[in-house]
Amino acid sequence: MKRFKYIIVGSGPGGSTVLKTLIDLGISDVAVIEEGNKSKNTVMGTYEELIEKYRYGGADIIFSKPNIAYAEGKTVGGGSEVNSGLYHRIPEDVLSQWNSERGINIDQNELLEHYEFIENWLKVETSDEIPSLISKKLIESTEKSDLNYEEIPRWKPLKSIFYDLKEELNLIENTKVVKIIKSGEDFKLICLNKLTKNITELVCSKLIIAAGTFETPKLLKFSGYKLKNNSFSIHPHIKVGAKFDKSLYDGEKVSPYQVKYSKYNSSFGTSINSRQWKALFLSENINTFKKEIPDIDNIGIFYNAIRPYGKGSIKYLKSLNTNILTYKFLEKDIENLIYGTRKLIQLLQGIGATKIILPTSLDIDQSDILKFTKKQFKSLSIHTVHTFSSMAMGDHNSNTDSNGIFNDDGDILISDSSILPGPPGVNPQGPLMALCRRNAIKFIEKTS
Amino acid sequence: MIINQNIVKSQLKFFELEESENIEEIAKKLSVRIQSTKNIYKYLLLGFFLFLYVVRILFFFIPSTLFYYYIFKLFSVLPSPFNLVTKLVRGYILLDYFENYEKI
Repeated sequence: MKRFKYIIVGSGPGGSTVLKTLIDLGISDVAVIEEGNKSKNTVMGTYEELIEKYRYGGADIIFSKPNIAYAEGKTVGGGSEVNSGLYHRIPEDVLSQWNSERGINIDQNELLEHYEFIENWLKVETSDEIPSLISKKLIESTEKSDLNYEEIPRWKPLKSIFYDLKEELNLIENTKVVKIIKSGEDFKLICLNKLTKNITELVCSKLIIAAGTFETPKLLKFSGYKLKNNSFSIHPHIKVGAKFDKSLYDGEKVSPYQVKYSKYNSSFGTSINSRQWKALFLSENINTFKKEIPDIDNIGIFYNAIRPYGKGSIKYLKSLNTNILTYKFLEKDIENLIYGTRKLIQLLQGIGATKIILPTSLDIDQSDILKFTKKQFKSLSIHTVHTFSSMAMGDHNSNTDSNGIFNDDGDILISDSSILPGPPGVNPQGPLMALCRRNAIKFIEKTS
Repeated sequence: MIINQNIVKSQLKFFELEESENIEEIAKKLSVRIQSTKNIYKYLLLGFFLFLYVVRILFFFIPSTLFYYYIFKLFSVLPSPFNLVTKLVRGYILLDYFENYEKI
């Protein structure tokens, strides 16, 4: 039975941040257990990538009205390997809200050193790349409106910048922790090797769980720990297709441009530009699909993502070793999604989009596209890649305290997007890494 | 294999897409994708396909492609979560069809 002082479950942005923090402090008695592996480089959105790097092949569902499709990474480097790499600090208004609602008492000055650390480590910077054709459309759309676009800086993926360079790390790949057993002062981790199907046991005295928004509470729950609440948050996205006179196809890259529309808590951006994902989008309506497939290259997919007020709920089915996710859209969120999307449609029409396509099975006349109602909302396809807050930090009814330490066991630090006190309203990797580093330093100081 | 090529052919017919040379590969990929889903959904989906396999034997006189065409059409109009079967299968087939299509 191998023994380490620290074991980190999960090598995504949160787990990697703790690992880097420990290494920098000269602590090497640490192992990282990762269910995925160091997959080869793959092309975004392809079959190979979805099977190799995503949990459940990139397809899971949150039951709601309408249902929400979501995906999360399962590979060395976690989400940083499969997302668009867009970096933000926590917006000031969001942090104020977290402080007042969750009582966490964190100010931007305290986070400054952690932001700077993350930005240096991941080489966060804006690129000199020419925007893709679809991003040029988004940029152009703001020039004729009261909104501004911004280029979001990007990070380098963790695998290439960290795991491929540090051979001496105790990285245990293809291994899933199936149960945690507390034995005296130690944790015994029952691990399943996904390739050999062998069961092994690892022991540690301090445990960091960074398995993701849904896997972290599931592991704790099925190991017999008590959770104070079973809620979670997301950023719901609506995709909007816009057809133009000329082709927008210039490869599959996603350029880092976004437009904020604060009136409805909305962010607009561009989606993956590959033909297979555009075909999938068009398939929501068979008539649209048949009509538009010949002109698929002239169609660009944009999105409206909101920072919502609603929450989801996780139900655990221990006998099936699984969880079921449900989500409730609040009236205000539905309004923000509809009105934000209307604004996005207006922007696209303003730059000459000849047709607007919504992800719905309903046949909507182009003249009625801006009259999309709350009643029709339930027919839309919603998706998300941003899930968080199932182990939200806070003082009231929270699963972790204001430093990310699990309430049911002070020797467990939670270090992934599940600790975010609420929706950040921006891509969550930057905010969660800064908070994870802050919490990791406090946890190490306390436990050393 | 429970997920056979006729399922793929039936859905390409639904989308009025030309039959690709890669039908066998798409069917194999569909099978892997379904095996990769969450356990609870994987077992439900495999149970569904097994059920279809049995029903198919009873309706042996209907051409296979036509049988699956109407079965998936029927499920597509059912309320959630039953319509999700059609949505998932069609989505996977389209992703793989157009991924191959791009390379041609």
